Amino acid sequence: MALETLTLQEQIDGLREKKFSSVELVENYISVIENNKDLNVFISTDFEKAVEKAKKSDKSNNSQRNIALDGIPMVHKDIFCTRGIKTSCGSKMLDNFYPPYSATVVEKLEQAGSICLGKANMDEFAMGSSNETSFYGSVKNPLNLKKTPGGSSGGSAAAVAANFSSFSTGTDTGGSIRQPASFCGLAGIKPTYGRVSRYGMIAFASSLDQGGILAKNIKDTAIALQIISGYDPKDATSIKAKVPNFSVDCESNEFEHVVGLVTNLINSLGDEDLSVNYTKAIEKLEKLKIKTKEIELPNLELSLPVYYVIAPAECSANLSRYDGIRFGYRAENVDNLEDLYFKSRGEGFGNETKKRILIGTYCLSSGFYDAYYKKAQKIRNLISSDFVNAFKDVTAIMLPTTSGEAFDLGSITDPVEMYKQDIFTIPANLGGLPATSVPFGEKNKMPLGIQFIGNILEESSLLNISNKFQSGEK
Amino acid sequence: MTINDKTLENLSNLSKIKIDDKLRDKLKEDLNLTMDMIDEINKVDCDQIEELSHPIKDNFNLREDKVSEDINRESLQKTSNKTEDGFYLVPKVIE
Repeated sequence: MALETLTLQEQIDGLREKKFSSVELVENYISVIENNKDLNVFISTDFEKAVEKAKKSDKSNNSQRNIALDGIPMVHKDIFCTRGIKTSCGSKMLDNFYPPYSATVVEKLEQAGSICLGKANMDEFAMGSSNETSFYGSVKNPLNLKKTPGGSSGGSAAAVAANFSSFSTGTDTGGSIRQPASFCGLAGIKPTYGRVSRYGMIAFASSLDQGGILAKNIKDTAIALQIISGYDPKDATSIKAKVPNFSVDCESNEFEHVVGLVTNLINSLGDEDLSVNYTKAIEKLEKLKIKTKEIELPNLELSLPVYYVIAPAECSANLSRYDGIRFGYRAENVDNLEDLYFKSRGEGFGNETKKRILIGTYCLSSGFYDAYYKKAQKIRNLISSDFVNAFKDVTAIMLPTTSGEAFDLGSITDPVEMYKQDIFTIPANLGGLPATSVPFGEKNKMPLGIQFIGNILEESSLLNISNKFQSGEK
Repeated sequence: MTINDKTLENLSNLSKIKIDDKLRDKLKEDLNLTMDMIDEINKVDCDQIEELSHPIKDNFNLREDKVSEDINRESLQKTSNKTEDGFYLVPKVIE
C-alpha cells in the first residue's frame, strides 16, 4: 500500500484499524520528501522529532486512537509560529527567528495528535501569487516542474500534491490558499474571517488574513478545519461562535442549496476558456440537481484596486515592527539608530515586500489618506453589501478560482499582471466570507479550480456544496 | 507620473527602508504601474458610503483586565542577539 497517496480520512481509518502505524506513515513520507528535494517545498524540517512523536503515538495507542488526528503527519506554512523552531515567513528578515511561543493553530493541531514534518516555503510575508518572492527560492509545481505551484501558500500546496502529507495549513489574504490549491489540483478552504485564530500567525494585512487548510479533497479540509477553528481569547478578532461538526455536515443530506452564478460577468471578460469551464461547472450543478440563480455583483471588478490599497496599507503598519532590534535581521556597520532601521529594513526585506510597504505608506501618507485609504474602505463597503444582497437569494456563489492554469515560473514580470492572479479570490477576503476551491477542469494539461463562496459562518453549507460538487458524477 | 524621485525619497524616509540605487528605476516603474491600476477607484462616486474597516461587524472581544500569564523576559529576548541586563542594545543615541 502506498501510504503517502492516502487521503487524511483513509489515514485516520487505517491507523484506527491498525492497517499501518504512525511510524510507518511518517517514515514513508520522509522517504518521499528525501527523494523530491528539488521541489524546494520546505524551509525547515525536523524528521527526527517527527519519528519520535510517531513512536510515542503508536506506543500510547495500543487499544484505540481517541484523539482526532492521532499520529497523522502534516505540514505547516512557515507563517505559523512554532516554539523553538525556525519561523521565517519566507523572509531573510526572519531567517534567524525562533519564536518563544506557538500559534494557536499549531497548538490545536498538536493537541489533536498530529505530527508536523516541516515548515513549508512561501512567498515572503505571504506577498505573492507564485512563490517566487520567497527568500528561499521558488517552489516547483509537482505536476509540472516548470510551473509555479501558486502562492503564497505554494509550499503547502506542493507538499500535498507531491504526497509529502495528506493535508497542510495555509493562510489566505487575497487568495493564497485557493489559488495554489487550484494550481496544484487540490481542495482548499479559507474560512470566515475570525473563525480561525490569528494568534501566532505572522501578520500581513490584519483585516484580511485568515488561516485555513489545503488537502486532497473537501472532506479532508473539513476534518482539519474542525480542529483549528474556534474562539481564541488571544485573538481579539476571533469570533465567539459554536464550531459545527464540519466533517459530518460536509456529507449531510440536510442542506438545501441555491448557487448564485455570475455568467454575464464571466462572459464579459472575453476569455473563452474561462467561460467554457464555468459553463461546464454550471452543467455539473444541473446534473447534480442543484438549484442555481443568476445574481449581480456590480462592484466585483473594483476588488483588485481596493485590495491593493487596503492590504499594503495594513502591511505597511504591521511590518513596521521589523526594526532590527528586538527580533529578526539586524544590519551590521551602521552609523546610528536611524541608519540601523534603514539598513536592517533595506537589507532584510525582499523587493516585493518593499514595494507593498511603499504603496501602503503612500496611500496612508498626508494628503493621500482620504483619496486612497478612506475611499478604498468605502468601496470595500459596497463590495461587502453586494454579497449581503446576493446572500438574500442564494446559499453560495460560484466563481472560477483563477483566470487560468498554473503559469511558467519567471514568466510574469509585470507586477499588475501578477496581482490580477487574485482577481476572483480577493472579493471573499474583502467581505470576510468563507470560500473553497475545488479541482474542476484542466487547461494545457494543468488543473483548474472552481470556487464556492459561502455566507459568514456558513462553512457547513459551503463544505457541503463543495463536497457534492467534487464528489458528484464526473 | 504619480511617484517621482522626490516622492520615492519621502516614502523611503517614512517607511525607514533604504532603497538600493540600482533598483530605483525599476521600483519607480512598478510602483507607478500599481498606482495606475489603483487609480480606478477614483472613477467611483461613493461620498455617501461609510467606510468599512473590518469585515465582521460588532465583533469586539475584550479580555478581562487581569494578568493571565507571566511574560518571560529572558525567553522573549533570546530573539535578539544584542541585549544586556534585560535591555536591548542600540547604537548610541545621546552624545
